[in-house]
Amino acid sequence: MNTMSPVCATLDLSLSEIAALSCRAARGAGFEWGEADEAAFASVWLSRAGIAWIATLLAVLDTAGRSGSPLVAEGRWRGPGALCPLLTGIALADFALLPEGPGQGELVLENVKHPLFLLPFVARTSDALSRPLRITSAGFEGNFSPGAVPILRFAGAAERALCEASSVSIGICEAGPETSRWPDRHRSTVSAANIRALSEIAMKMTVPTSAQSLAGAGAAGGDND
Amino acid sequence: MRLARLGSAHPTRLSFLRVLLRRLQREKWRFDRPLFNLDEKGVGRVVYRAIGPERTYSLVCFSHDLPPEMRSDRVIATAWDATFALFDGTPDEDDLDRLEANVPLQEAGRINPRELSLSRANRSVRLFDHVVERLSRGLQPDGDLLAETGYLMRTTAVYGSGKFGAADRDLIANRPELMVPFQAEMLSVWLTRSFSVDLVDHIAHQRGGEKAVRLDGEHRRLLGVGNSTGLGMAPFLVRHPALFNNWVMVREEALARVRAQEHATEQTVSGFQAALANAIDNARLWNSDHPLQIAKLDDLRNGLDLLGAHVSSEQDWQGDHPWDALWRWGETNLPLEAQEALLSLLLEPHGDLVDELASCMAANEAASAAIDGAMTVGRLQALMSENYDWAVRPDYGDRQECARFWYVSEDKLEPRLGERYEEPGSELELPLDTGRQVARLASAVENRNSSEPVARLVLEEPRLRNAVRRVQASEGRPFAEIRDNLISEELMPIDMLRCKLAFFGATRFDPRSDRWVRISLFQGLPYPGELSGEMQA
Repeated sequence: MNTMSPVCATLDLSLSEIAALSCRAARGAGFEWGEADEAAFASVWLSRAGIAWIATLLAVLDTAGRSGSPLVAEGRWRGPGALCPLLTGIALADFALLPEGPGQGELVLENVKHPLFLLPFVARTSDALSRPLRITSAGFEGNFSPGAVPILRFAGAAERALCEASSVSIGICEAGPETSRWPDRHRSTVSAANIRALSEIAMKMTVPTSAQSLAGAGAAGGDND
Repeated sequence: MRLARLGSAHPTRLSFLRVLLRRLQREKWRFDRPLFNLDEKGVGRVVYRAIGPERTYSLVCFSHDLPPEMRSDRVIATAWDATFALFDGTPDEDDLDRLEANVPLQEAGRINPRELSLSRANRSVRLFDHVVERLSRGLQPDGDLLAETGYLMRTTAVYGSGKFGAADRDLIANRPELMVPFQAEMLSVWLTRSFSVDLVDHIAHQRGGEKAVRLDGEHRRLLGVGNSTGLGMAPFLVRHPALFNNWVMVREEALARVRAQEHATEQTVSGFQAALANAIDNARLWNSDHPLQIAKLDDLRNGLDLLGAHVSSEQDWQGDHPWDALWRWGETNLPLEAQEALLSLLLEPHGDLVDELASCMAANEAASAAIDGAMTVGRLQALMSENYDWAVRPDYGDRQECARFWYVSEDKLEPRLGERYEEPGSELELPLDTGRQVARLASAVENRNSSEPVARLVLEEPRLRNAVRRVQASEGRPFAEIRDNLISEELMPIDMLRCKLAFFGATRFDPRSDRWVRISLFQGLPYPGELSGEMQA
């Protein structure tokens, strides 16, 4: 990604660029490839929903490697420590139709870091269940209907939902009022500083240049005729 | 599908560039060139427009004065003979200024969603100079030389789908004219072809003045646009299994429809004969210095000769299901290279049967993006038995089976293929080793309870997640995977490249190594303003 232009304070990224950068960064931060793909999905979803995806993702990846996987049990998920929202969100969508998911009754996820990052997975869970879901936490509330734009309400600044770990409760709810279609949002304006930070993490999944590496890519002999 | 067949793929009438030209012709698109501003060295701006019934697309071209020592096809190049953007609509002066500030920088610049594609091209110096020299003296160039090289300019990258700020595919995929994959990219390359010819005419005129002539219709038909491709394209087929499945499925369905015909009409038989004659001609002109390709070209020429002999002697055109009989004969008697050519020939006269399948070559990739956590391990095992027996066959403990690894380079962020036991970096390998991953998955679930949900499996063994997703996505998608070990010592990356390029419609496949190829696009096909009548490749 050509993000190094120092002149621009901000950059408009396409969804494709968001997905590619997020995937590489998650991998660079130590998540498995399948999990990195989920991080890309989440970033794109947050961007389309107009939520600060890059700050959230940077916070999620700002750990010493991959940790905070949930102990999944019926009704309540917890960790040894604070839960990683990427790993928890992934498991939430995976367990959507199972007894450990929110389909049978209220599900509490204890002490989730940066819980905003759960939202794309709550949406996916709602789609899988074909039922509307409500999510409640200290910093925000949300109503999700399958395929529809979620309705989100923040208690105070959205940044709180970003930074503070909190417990989150998810359950099936009544269908809400009709919501509008997803906005046609295919750009995300991000700061050059955030791009640089995310790119640095992403670079950890690349292999440094060597003469061998350069030779391993091109034509044998000249390519100019 | 296996790489042996995929790597012998030929373009067909369902290739993306053929689909594009049929639409442009059917919908009577108009073409013009509202800006042509080149100086005496050929430097400046040119704009070509394709005007459809609902929308207009413009190829904005910047022509540069490139010092010869800077000319390189590698993605690490920083300057080119010409750079391009396909603009959504008609650009105004502000758009052109913005594009001029960015497009010549290519990856180092930024474009926005009004741009659908970003590309660059270099001259084929030898041919370009020859053509300029002849035209400037009032003469047409040597036709054999044109036919042999096949292009005045070659693209070295054509980016679309949101790269460097371009419009995401989702933004435009609902437009009928862009729904089939790579239509914007193909349109961009087709108009680049016009640019390459106009540029050579212009420079010849600058040199020769009154005496100079333009390239005539017959000679310019011999030219396409070249393309130089390396490993950058290779991961695509693996990263887009639902899409790739649909491409192959369409090709198989098209073949099945032709084989199912009870009788052959006079028209389809003569169409077939004409296509065969073209193929034999093309095989004669198609050259390569690469030993692998030389062997394949021998197979092709011999195979086509055999085919020609069979068709004029033993083939019973009046018989029952004659196309099926011909295909079966080919499967038994022709090398793979010629079988794939035969497939293309069978489709060619049957446009009314198969052309409508083009719209099935798009895919809703989101449908296979999420894992179904409720699926049982037992069901997963059944899917692996059904679709992945090829994956579990190799012994991945054998050095030869794991000799390579795919990775992303730090410089230029491009995909590369390394030698696992000779270079550092394999701990960072990309997940293109699908076969090995699924083999590991199969082994990991061997002793698990078959009624266990997959959600529990991937929670406990997150490394298996990618393999699980692929296995689940293979349900109902028999062609999603390239059924070969992509990290084997035996892998020929050019087989992957040729497969994708054949779907584009590329001809004159010419490997320069086992991972770098030259091809030609649109060679022999009409130019804007020439779209009428049947278009044979």
